[in-house]
Amino acid sequence: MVAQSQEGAEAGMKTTSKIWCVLTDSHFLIPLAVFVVGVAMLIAVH
Amino acid sequence: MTTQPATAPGTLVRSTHALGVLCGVCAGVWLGAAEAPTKLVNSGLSPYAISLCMVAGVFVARWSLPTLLKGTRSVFADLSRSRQLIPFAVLAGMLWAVANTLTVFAIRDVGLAIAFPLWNTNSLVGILWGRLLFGELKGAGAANVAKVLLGSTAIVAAAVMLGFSTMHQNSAHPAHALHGILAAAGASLLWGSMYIPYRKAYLSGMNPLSFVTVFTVGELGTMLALVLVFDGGTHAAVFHSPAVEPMLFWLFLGGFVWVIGDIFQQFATKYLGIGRGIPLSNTNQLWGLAWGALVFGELAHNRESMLLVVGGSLVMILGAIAVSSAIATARESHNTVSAIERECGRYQLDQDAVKRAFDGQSSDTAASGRAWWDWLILAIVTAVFVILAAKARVPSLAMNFAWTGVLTVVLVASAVACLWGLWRTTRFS
Repeated sequence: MVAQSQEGAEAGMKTTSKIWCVLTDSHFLIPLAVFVVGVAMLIAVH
Repeated sequence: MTTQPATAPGTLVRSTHALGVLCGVCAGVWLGAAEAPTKLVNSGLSPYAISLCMVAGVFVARWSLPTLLKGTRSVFADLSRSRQLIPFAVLAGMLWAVANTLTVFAIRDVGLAIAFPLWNTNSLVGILWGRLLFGELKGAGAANVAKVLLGSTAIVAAAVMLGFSTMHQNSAHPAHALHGILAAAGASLLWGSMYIPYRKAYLSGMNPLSFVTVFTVGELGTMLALVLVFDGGTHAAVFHSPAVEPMLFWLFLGGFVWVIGDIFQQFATKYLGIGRGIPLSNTNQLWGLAWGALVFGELAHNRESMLLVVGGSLVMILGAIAVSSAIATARESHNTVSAIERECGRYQLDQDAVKRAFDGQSSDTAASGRAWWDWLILAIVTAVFVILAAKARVPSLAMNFAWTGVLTVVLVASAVACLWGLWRTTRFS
């Protein structure tokens, strides 16, 4: 039981750290920032 | 299943380079042809509505031929292995949808003559990101850098020349000129940045067919949101107008052709990188013009633009030859390997498996083959197209059927050559 919950916690941490890796990745942040700029432009020109 | 013979690194680079060039050129042929079915649509609906219908067609068509190439089991196994890349692929689809909408406003506010050259610079934006983020062209040698930069610039210039040859009127609103320029520059930035997630996915070992699957979800979701926000919400004409049903087949057909072209573009990005793959697929302007001029007679009353057409076509072909001949040197390939290692380190990926997948040598025996539900999906998608075809209205538009036949043969032949090359070299990895 304990081993299982430890494995679960590790898996959970792994997922969390992967999400963190994505959210702090410049390859994600740059296109995301460009997308936000694009939406702002769309609102401005609409 | 995919047991590749041991290949010397130099030979492998050359063979994947040749495959990438074939995919890039083929992407140009198919992306250019995607405009043809949409010319049969004259509904008076808003550009948002037309885009949403076409993107819905792209989404449905993704489950047609691509499902035949590699079954859903393989695609979902790949997505499950590379979950961290799903947000990247969704984001790429979102960028495409917003950029496409911005071009509509750019044309409205400054006209095609100014807007078109501006958003066509997206491949140059892509080259910049490729250099800054993935080390593309780093250590490439002066000759290769010159070939890629001059070739890409020539393709942009040629696209502008070809675009000018078909411009008959300028419906610009001078009062909104700044808005229009902003929108066109925005479209260029968004489309150029869309290639970051493309390249990222392939450096992490993802299969292009898996990437496109998620990409179409982002594209459709964003287009739907744009219609709901900017085009009348749930009361938008696209959801209620009787004009939609008879034109859906043509837009879905355009979507089908587009998604096949996009898959070839993805393979080109995988095997050539952004800097070489995207300029090659941007030769679609040449094929779009060929369909417009030869099938729909768009230049019949505009003989004076022939010089632009011939000049633009020659410049584009020369640009494509320059880009195609810039084979990556050992030093440049080493930088690509460093970029792969960065991804593997960051996301704790199996470096050997990723490198094999990047070289088109992935082996996913467990998830290969088609399942029964793949055939069911194919049957449903085929039924959707057959039903829409039965309800389609054939417009009374003058078309040259001889040229339609010739260009369709070119389209099919290019796809067969490309699919055969992909199957023989990589088994669609």
